[in-house]
Amino acid sequence: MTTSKDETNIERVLQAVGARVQPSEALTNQVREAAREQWLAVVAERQAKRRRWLLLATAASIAVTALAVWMGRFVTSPQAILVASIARVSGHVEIAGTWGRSRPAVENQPLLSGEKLVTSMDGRAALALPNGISMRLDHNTRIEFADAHRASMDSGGIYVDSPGVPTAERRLRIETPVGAVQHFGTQYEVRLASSAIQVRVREGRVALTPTQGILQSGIAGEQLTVGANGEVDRMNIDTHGAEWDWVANLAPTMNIDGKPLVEFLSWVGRELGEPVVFANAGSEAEAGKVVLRGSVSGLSPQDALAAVLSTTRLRDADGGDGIVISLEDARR
Amino acid sequence: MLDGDERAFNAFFDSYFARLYRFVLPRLNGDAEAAREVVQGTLSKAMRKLGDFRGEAAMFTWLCQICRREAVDFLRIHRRHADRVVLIDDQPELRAVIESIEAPEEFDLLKNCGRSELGRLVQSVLDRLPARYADALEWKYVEGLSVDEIATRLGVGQVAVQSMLARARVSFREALEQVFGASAENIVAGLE
Repeated sequence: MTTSKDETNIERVLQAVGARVQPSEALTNQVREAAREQWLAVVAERQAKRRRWLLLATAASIAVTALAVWMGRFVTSPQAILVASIARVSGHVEIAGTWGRSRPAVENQPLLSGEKLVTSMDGRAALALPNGISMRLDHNTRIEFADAHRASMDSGGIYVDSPGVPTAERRLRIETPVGAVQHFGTQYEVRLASSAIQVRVREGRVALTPTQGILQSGIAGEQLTVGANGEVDRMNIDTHGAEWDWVANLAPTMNIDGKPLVEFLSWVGRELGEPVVFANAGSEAEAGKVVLRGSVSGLSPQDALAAVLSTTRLRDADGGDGIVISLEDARR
Repeated sequence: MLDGDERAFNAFFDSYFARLYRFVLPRLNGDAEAAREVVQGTLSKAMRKLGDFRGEAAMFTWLCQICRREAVDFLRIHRRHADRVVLIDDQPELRAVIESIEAPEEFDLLKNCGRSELGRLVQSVLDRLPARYADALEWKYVEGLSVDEIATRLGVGQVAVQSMLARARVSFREALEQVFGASAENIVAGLE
């Protein structure tokens, strides 16, 4: 806050130094034209580069699909279809074909129906489904897709993130020996352990149909555990924190170049399971002005948040209601 | 801007051109034509490197760094201004201060600078504020425009202008105190 005395002093300082020098209109126009010419050249160069990349990517995609189809004739059933692509791999992960042949899974590789994705005790993977669903596989997980809407898991744990409004296109059924899980626009984890199935719901709602027993519904902040005998245990859980770190660490990198900061913050909040709130209107307005450049490739959402905010006037802090974004202290 | 948005380019230019010009002009002995050439080179280089720039907060600082190098190159090529002006704010410790708006305790500007140097430093501080803040302060307190006239210039309401002026005064006062290590009242005494 400034008092009227402060205001008077500021007025006196400004009047004592006078108006700042302004370049003439002719000079301004001359420099504007020169800068504009350079800007247009840079824009044209970037657009040409982008077109070249698009052509290359399209050609590569066609080649990969053709190769996958060709290989599929030998290692998968004739009806194999593309069900997902492997977005991230950490540690040792394998794809086992229908004839039992295994090969290491690598990023950007397509996953076909009938193929089993297997993570080892040090392996984890993230999948991108064509319908926008993101799936993460924890250690010692085995999962196989019948198609893009149905998968069977016989060990380990998976995390599913289906953003936006639930639609028929985004339906997904996870079948396990102990029961089947379906979601309604949500984030949740399904884990198999000691003949029991455990579902932890982070957002939205999930339906669990045990092999023995009746249908159970879990909402955000709940954990459902159903044993082989159908016995149900229900408890409240945190939707963020250390237990969810493995999920965040597997998050596919967001391409931030040219994206508004608010979009990036929303992604971070979703990955960390915490709402992003602004400390005040000033910080919200500041965030609204920022457009990002560069990349956060290889960084976890937490590290990406720290890296990105360090280039702005904004800082984050853990608040009771989520990640609080505020303007940095100008005195620091 | 790099996606070809003309409005973004104009906003960028309007925000930084005059400030860069004022930044380099005293470093080139007040030679307007040399300053034009250096700023033009700076903006051309910035356009080419903009894709590598991350974040918004330090944009002007980043541009000043390019501008400073352009000025050195310019002087080397043209061999003009053999007595290149070394401004007090080019001293490393003070440069860090102005770039980060953080005061060194041992450096007393009010004692070490003359009136005109102090005046230029105050204007440098003004140029480090968001462009709208600096313009609004200058329009109100130097040109004597009313809130209503500023609102018309900016195309916003009177309440928004009053609120912006309040924020601008706080930012300016804090920046002055951090750079000079003295209150606005003491700075006035040094200037008058």
